[in-house]
Amino acid sequence: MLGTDFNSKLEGAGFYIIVIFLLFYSFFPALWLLLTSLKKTSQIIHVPIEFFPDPVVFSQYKEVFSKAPFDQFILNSVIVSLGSTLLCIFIATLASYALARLNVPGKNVFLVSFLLISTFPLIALMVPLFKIFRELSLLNTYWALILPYTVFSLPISIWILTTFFREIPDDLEEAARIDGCSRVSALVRVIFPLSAPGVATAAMISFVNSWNEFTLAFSLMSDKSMYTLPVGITYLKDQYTVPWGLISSGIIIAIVPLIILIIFFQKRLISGLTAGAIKG
Amino acid sequence: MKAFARTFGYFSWSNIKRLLQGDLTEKELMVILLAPAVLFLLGMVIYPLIRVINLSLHTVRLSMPWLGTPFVGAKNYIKMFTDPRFYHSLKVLAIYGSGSVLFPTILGLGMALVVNRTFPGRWLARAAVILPWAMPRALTALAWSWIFDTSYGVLNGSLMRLGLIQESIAWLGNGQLAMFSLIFTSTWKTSSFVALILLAGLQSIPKQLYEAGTVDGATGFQAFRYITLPQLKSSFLIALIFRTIVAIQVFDTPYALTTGGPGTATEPLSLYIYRVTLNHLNFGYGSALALFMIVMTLMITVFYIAILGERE
Repeated sequence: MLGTDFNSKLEGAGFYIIVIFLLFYSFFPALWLLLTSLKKTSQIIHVPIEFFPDPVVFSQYKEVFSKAPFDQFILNSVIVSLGSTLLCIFIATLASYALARLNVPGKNVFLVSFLLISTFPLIALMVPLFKIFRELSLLNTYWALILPYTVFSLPISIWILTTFFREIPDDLEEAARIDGCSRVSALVRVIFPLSAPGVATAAMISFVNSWNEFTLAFSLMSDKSMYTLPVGITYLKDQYTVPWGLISSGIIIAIVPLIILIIFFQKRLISGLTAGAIKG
Repeated sequence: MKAFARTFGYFSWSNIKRLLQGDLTEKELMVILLAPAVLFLLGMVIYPLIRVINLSLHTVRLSMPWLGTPFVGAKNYIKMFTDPRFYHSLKVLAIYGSGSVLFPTILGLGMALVVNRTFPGRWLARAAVILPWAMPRALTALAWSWIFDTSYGVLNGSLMRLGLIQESIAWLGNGQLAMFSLIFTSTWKTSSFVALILLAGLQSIPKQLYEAGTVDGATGFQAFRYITLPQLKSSFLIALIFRTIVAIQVFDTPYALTTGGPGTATEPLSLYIYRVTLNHLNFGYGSALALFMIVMTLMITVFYIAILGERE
């Protein structure tokens, strides 16, 4: 008995070493950016390396707003991400209701074609989209990003919402309709609120997708005042001496909303992300 | 076109009034609910797809408008199959792709096994697993390019402090090291996704299997080898296929980490498509390259759907 106890303690210690390694590995880049962003530039390029900021300064954060139109980048990212998320959830709700509750002929054709678009290479679609948006004079407008982002978040949103809608008992909807609700008001008043967790999950995932997207934002927006955060920050690197302090503080600002989502909604994100793949 | 007009017909004012009053037939309701999704799909995927096929059969050079846009048939494709830089980009893609499918799978399995256990502080470990997924790919690559920086990077700085190296290593300045750094960065970013898929798989394994195993006297490793791994087979397959599709298309990571360099040592197909279309403004040839990538992705997706179909 004593032996097994010792063994499991040893195994426990080994397990925690692995956990600590995992934490270090995953958090290190963000941690290092945070440390860099709090240093003076002279300390950032000090050789030999100094790991901790001394003194702690916030000048990099102030400077990133004055050296680049950083508030404009934030605004652009917010508009594009919120716009595409709202549009995506609206369209996905309608489609998912039909797929979950009505007798759609060829239902699988829909689901499979949504699966197909979710695997389409953005860089390859960028080529015709650039031409099309140029002809429509939509380059350097928010629509050039909102429209494609909406489509690329549709598949996973539809997967998640269809699953949620199916789980709501038919009786609830029927009760509402006996009370005089139309199908649409039953959808708005009964199904949609009851699926709030699913809607929230789909909205979060589509927000993160849009917030992080780089390929199209980089290719379709050439006007500096239209850059989103990832593009604006990446362009900071295109200088003779790379301003690592500004880049670090910029990245930290860009990932704050993501970190908040992870801390408060991690379970929901995990279940939503795997829903499409596993149930597919 | 007729079908289009008919679809729009459903959106007449009287229908919208009837929709709000709730006396539409089920068929009318269905069309109205599905139409926005289908229209978006047609406008943002199918129409661009038709355009890219069309563009690839023409000479389209935005920098030389005097050439016009004559039909040239297979000329762009002939150019592609005789273009050494195209083959080079495929070779880069093959090396990068195999690394960034293999390593995230191994690491993702490890992560999934860790967070599948119950232990104090598990939420923190779980946050560590999803953080890389949530980070923007381009900014992740920027962060790593700062870590790998030759003069001031923390990797070289730490190795020197520890006395393991005397001179700085140019992690991104030498072809082979740059490829290593690229695969490393991609592995960091994408292991999360594999871990989440495998975690869902682990949680769906019936507990009774392990109980039966314990009764039969299986050790921990035997249970892992003979229960866990076989039960995870389909999750592995899903993760592998998704990883392959994403790896083929990746643009942000190599762009923000190495911009394809040094030279073209880390320039996969995606970066070459970008160069041809937006730097050289050669949309005809770029479309042929883009179509090659689309077909490659579609083939893998069809394979994926076939496997899923078999499972059901």
